Amino acid sequence: MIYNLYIFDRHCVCIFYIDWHRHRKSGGIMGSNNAGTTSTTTSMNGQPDGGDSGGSSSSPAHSAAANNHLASHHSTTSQLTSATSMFSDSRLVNIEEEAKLVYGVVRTLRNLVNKLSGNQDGFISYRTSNYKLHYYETQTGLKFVINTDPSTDSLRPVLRQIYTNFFVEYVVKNPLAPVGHPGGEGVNNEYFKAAVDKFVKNLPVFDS
Amino acid sequence: MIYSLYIISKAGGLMYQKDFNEGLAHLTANEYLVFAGTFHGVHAITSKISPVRNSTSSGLEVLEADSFKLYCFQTLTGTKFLIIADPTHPNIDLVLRRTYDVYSDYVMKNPFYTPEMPIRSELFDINIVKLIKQVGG
Repeated sequence: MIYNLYIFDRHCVCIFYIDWHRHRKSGGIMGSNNAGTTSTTTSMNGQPDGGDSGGSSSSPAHSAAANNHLASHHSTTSQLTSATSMFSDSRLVNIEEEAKLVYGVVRTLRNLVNKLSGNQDGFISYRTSNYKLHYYETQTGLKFVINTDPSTDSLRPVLRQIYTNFFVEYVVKNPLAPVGHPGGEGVNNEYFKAAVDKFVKNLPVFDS
Repeated sequence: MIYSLYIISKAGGLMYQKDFNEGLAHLTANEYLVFAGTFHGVHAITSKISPVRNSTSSGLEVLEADSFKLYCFQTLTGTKFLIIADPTHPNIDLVLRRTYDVYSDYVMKNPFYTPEMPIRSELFDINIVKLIKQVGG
């Protein structure tokens, strides 16, 4: 079972992200939470403004009450702005935040392995009780990370193929793609996305 | 072949470190402490970034590199046992649990031992070496 794929550039930025098998498991929670988030943020923007402009004497109590009311209902969702944010098991799983954590882990482990074995690309994968992370780094410092279930064999060849067959073909060889892909520009093209999606979905380990 | 053993306290401090075989780079005493602290942090984060929703993941259990494999066993009290071994070495899980037995017997049952402090016990040393020899380290 393959869960998701990250590509990081040399500047620690996640330039590409795609996931599979995620919607099914968390679809209901994600949908309801997102709906709740958007509705509360709009109502929160409306109410305190109206109270402030209406009467200054009663506004502190009013806004405090409104805040309390909101806090009791959605204490944790008020800070969320992006549509990808959601809560499950009381922890934040914003995609951007998560990508930063993944990058931090991968880079730290790579450096640890490098220090112990003296080999530049020694780090292959790690496994926990419910997922396995596979890692591949190109000579140019691009980092490919894929998460699967723990019983999957090494996917380093697959990551290499994604790089040579798709990344080089559709991103590097695109004359309009900028150098260094700031903010995912250039990587974010339909051909690359579709090709990677199709390739991964056709792997024997995708659904097993 | 087992390269080395680390014991990390629940606060991330290095309690014990021993090399059994050559094969990995030698670190300075300070670098060993940094290694333990870094691993402790990474271990905590790896349990948070699980792509599987609605289930709790353990921290890192096995790290695979081209020239070695690192196995981590975390006890219920948060102490971590790390073994770095040859990628082909079988049954490291068993070795980790037996290391925990030796630790319980010769460290925790020692009335003069202060918890979380570096382990300086001759008996523990002797028995660990014996255990590693037994399992073909």
